[in-house]
Amino acid sequence: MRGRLKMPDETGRNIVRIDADMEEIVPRFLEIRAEDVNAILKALGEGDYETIRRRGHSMKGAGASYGFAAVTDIGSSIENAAKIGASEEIRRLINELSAYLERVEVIYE
Amino acid sequence: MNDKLKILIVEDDKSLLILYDMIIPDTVFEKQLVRDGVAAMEAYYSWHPDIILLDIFLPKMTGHTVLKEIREEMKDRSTAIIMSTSIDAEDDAIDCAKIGIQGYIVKPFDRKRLADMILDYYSQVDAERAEAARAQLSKRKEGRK
Repeated sequence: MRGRLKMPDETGRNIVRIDADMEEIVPRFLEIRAEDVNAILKALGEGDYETIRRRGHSMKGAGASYGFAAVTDIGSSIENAAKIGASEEIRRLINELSAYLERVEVIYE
Repeated sequence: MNDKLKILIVEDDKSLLILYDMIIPDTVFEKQLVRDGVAAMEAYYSWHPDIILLDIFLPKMTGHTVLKEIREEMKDRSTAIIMSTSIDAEDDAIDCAKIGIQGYIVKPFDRKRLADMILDYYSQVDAERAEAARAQLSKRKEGRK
């Protein structure tokens, strides 16, 4: 699954091309994923792996449905890491998600 | 008489609810959107949907329990129920099929085909209304070209 995660281009951006009719709702999708980052970090501090698993599961289903395959991949990995309580792996994945959200640039076409 | 199909959409992820709301057209469907199994049962009793698009992995009451209550407690076979499940959990949908569903969609899904899939599954309980809705949907697609 992780092989689908595209590396940033030479300018450090992650370009995602999405249909123009999605333009109105994609910003909210990205906000919700940013909320996931905060919620998962909080849950990690509390040892609440069920919340982390649930958030990862949601990201997995929603990501590619919107056109963000990388979010599906990271969400799937977070869900799996939460099932075994792999806190360091979760922290690494959250850093990866955070960096992705900062670099992502959407082109509507 | 309102000839739109009433669809109850049950999904705990906010962003997917927003996406469903956008891609399931108002011209064909009257929608109610809820985020957990208890709210789904309340809407089922008070609103009597024609179709329920039901996530399996839900807070408060799972989609599996909602399905059992409708099919086994209420003995309702005429409401179309379509489960939604993640790509690595299709076995859960197969378990639901034993109780009685019209079909299931796998997330992530192809948003361009979702409304057609819903009507395909709905045709199992009412082919005539599904056909009328499909004609309406085609008209809408033509209008957008």
